[in-house]
Amino acid sequence: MKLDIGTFHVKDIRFGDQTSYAGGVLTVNREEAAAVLNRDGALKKVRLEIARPGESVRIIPIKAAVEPRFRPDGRAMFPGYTGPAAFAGEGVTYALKGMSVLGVGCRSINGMNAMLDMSGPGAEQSYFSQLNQLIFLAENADPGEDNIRQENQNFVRAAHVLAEYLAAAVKDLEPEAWEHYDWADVSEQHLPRVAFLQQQCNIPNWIHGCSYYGYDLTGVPTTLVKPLESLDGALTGDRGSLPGNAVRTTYSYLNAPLVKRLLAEHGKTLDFVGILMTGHIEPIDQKKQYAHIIVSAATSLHLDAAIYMESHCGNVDVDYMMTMAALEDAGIKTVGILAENNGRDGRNPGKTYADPKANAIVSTGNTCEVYELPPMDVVYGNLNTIGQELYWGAWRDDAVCGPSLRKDGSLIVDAHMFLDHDGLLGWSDKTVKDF
Amino acid sequence: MKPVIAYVNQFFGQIGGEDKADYAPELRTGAAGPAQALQAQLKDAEITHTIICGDNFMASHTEQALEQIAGFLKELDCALLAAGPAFNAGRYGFSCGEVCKLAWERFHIPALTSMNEGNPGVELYRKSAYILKGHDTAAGMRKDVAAMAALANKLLAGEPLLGADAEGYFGRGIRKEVILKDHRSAADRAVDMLLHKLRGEPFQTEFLVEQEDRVPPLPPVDPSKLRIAFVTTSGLVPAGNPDHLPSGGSTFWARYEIGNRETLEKGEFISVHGGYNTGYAAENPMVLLPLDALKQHVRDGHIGSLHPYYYVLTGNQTAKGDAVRMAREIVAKVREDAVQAIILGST
Amino acid sequence: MMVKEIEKSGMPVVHMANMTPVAQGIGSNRIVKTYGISFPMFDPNATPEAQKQQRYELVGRALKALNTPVQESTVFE
Repeated sequence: MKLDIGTFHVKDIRFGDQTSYAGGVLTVNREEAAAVLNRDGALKKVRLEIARPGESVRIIPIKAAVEPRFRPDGRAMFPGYTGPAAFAGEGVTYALKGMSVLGVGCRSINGMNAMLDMSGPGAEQSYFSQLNQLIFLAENADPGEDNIRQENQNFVRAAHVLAEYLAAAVKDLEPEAWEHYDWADVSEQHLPRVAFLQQQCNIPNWIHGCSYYGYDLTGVPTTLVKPLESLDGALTGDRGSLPGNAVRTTYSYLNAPLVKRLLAEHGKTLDFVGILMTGHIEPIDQKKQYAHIIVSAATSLHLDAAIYMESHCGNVDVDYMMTMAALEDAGIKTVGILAENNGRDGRNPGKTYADPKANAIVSTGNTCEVYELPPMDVVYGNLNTIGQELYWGAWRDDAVCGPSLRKDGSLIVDAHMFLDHDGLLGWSDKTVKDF
Repeated sequence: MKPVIAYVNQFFGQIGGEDKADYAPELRTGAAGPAQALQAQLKDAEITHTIICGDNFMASHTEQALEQIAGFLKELDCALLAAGPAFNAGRYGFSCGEVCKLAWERFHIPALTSMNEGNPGVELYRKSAYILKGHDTAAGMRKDVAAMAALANKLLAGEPLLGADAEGYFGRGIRKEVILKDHRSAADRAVDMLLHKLRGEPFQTEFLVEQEDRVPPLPPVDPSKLRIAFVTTSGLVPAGNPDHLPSGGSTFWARYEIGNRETLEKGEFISVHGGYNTGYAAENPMVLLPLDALKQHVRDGHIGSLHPYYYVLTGNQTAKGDAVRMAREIVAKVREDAVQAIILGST
Repeated sequence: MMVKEIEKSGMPVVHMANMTPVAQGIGSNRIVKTYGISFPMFDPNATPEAQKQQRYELVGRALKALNTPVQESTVFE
């Protein structure tokens, strides 16, 4: 199975008459792009803006992040989601590198959205600050959809449609560079068989982790995904519920560093047999069932080892640690990747539940770390959602920190606010240390 | 010159050996014993005083010894307290730990000492002081004092620390996020760790699973004779959230009257908790606070009486220190109303 | 953590929780297992009458737990 990604490096984005790409500059027809992304009329007051690395810009509430991609052979970029079902992970795909599309609203019901600073200390907390951003701002056309269940969906879909439209600008151009991926059968080399397990934090009608070919994986205990599918649009961030670490963005799936590194090792040091998306469920008895089902899937893949990503903190810790211990019991050498929840003072145990069998863990950060952020010259979206809505990483008032949003526009928030702060798909250059 | 105070026992303070171990605390001007070697390596700091105390005196008259030492500290200007090094000496480790803890907890003076990993003082006091990883006997004195001086200089200069391992002290139970200097990605760290684990090579986990300490269970009580209070971590508040309870990371609790109610109805109470699906509570708040059941058990004689308020906070992302403080505050508050047992409901 | 601290203060306490491994992990000694994280006190799919009965019985179990001697962290199911 081979995937060839033809890349175009976007050094700058500008608005102009015709959506086109030349010499590292993506020109976007603002009105046309706004009309395309809202082709179903689900949004209103759609407006496009541009933000660049280093600018004094703050973006909030972010509901979706997608890398512009296009398939020259006519298949939908996100099959089953933005177009008819088709196989992803093979053939040729074009990608606009160095940029992302962001879907931004004016409300954030239950705070299930994220923030991005393009400069200052907040910028260090998200790799998205290194990318040029094409932002669309909008509201749901039907205010009845401003609820926990539906609020983000129109924005997420529109972001994918916009991403596909933008990348279509390069359809007749020769890519500047190529990324070649070959996921060959290397079973004859008898290398250790390794899978990448990704936990999804799923709470029906609230937190929906991701979709596979447009199918919502909420509540599904195991789903096998090919590594090249993940890099090619089969996995999409579902609801745009992005606080800190609960849910990954489509941009993150398309570029997942862990998948890329495992592919680089494939056929050399290990046999990368696939990605196993694993579910999470609240009731304790079903957690035990899920752990059982996940380990059963892992053993039927004849795994020797696994990398197991946790999604978020809290009751998912129980599913995660139970499963990790069961994987070790089944003889599968497992390395965990997770974010900690150490509290503001760093004195919390990090996980609400842990098993000593989880003895090899990469920690990508503390989602409760508190940050003070200066005001920005420009805010895209609605900064006043901080204080109005129940963001996980912000508060109306606090005995120690005071309100998150101050009169001058400066903030004191915790790391839950930053777009993919925890970088659990392998992005994070952070860890947590004893002090 | 920043003022530093040293602490040593009777032996290293050159008072005497075991026969002088009952020596009561003494405040001496200048650096005594190993503190002299420490002084030689400090930058911009002066050991103004050395406190000397016998290990047995500290062990058998702890409170009295600490009060006397507190009396010394209260009168002195002090930027840092340096105790020991205590090597693997159990009683000396205890003394150094107690004095460090006193300095930090009562006077907010940062304190450092040095102990061998086998010293029981490490586990007892590492959360109250910087305890450098020291040698097991006084043969390692020179190196231990040098390590203490290096950390003392950093602390006095206000330099950011690199973490417990890098600085050579036992972790203080504080975890802090750091951006790695080489920006090595979590992907590379995870795959490399996996390859090491597969090959049976040593590797270093970044998150060590530790066991919590336990409290022995209290004996049973008969609730039909007791006044009972209900506490919930569910974020259940009257509609409108009058006290602005946060959706997570509670630093305060609230209480609301239920004495004059039999039920909680839809629309009257909501949950502001950000960590679970609050839709069920919106539909029927008694899914979090079973008020009608509590009242029925009172009528049925199974509960002596019900305290007329419920206590609430938001349990998710609450810092451990805050949780402990709030638990103490709530217990103190309900005791004012002669409450004798608590039912705590969590989500 | 709160339950442990309450017990430490000498106040008898029973912890009604769904994540019983977590409750045991953080040192709660008397634990009554609830229906769910988001719906601890009854099963929201049951009839209103059954729900009422469920929460009455669950509170009853908590009272019984308070009155039962335990040597270590114990879950009352």
